[in-house]
Amino acid sequence: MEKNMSTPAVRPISLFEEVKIQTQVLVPLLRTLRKEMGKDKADALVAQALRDWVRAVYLQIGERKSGAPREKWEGVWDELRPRIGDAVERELLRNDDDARDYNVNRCNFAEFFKALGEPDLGALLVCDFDYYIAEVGAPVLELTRTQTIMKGAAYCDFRYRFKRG
Amino acid sequence: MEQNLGNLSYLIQREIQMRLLANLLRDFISEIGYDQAMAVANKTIQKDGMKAGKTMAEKYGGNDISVLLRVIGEVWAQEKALEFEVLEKTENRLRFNVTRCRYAELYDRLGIKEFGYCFSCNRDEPLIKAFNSRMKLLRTQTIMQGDSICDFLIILE
Repeated sequence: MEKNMSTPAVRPISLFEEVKIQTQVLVPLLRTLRKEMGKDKADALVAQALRDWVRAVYLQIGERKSGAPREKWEGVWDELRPRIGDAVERELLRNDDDARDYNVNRCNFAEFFKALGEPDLGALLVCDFDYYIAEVGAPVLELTRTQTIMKGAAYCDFRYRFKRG
Repeated sequence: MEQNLGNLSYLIQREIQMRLLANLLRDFISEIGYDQAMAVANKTIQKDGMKAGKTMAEKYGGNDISVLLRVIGEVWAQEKALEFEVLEKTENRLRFNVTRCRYAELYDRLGIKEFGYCFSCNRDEPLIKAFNSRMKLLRTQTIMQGDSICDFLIILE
């Protein structure tokens, strides 16, 4: 299946703005589907389709970056970080050759999707891409995250481990 | 989908949404079949059109033919997304041809032209109906479907 995607070519817009625009079409679509086939089936259908698409978007951005896997991963983040801007508040705990640990203590994305009553959608559209970007850095990089604000925790615990060699 | 967010043009917002929608729809088609997937997409788009029509009438503080023409010029054709020529405008009739449609070009560029009619043209009728329940859209051809112009005729009954 052909995947048409990546971020819009015209000019970089903030990720929060882009997500809000996507949600304007996504939420009505999800609600129509739920009415047609029931919540469980509709949610499963949308989850699978979104996973496929979001993963493909970020892997494609990764493919455009040059260098070793970890450099590609840094490259994706260098592109993405300015687009996230102050929509999330990070607290860096450790940053060296072996690890990068930080917590996200405030997240506009989580607030937005919780207010909509659709935090699962937010997780699919936003939180999950951290793992897809981590895939760009595989196998020398691994992300472990046990909790997110989107899913109700007080903070998100990002723990990256870098393997050498 | 109609409201403007920040300074982003309507066309750019559409691009962001349509990329997402087209990719989801392709997945849905393979999972639940073409007919059901398209029916869901059509319903969603038409509902959105209705919402947009109501919002426009409220925002512009009126719902006659003149106001509709302003909506078409200021919202639909924002940033030259549409080029159109008004052929007739009376209290009860508005007839215009769209001679260039950047939405159709956008779908073409994104490789999702097969969804263009469903995503864009298909919302015009419910939008106009919700804008003014006495208005009716008659249109026999669209650029999206391969014609050289879109021939809009809106009648106020």
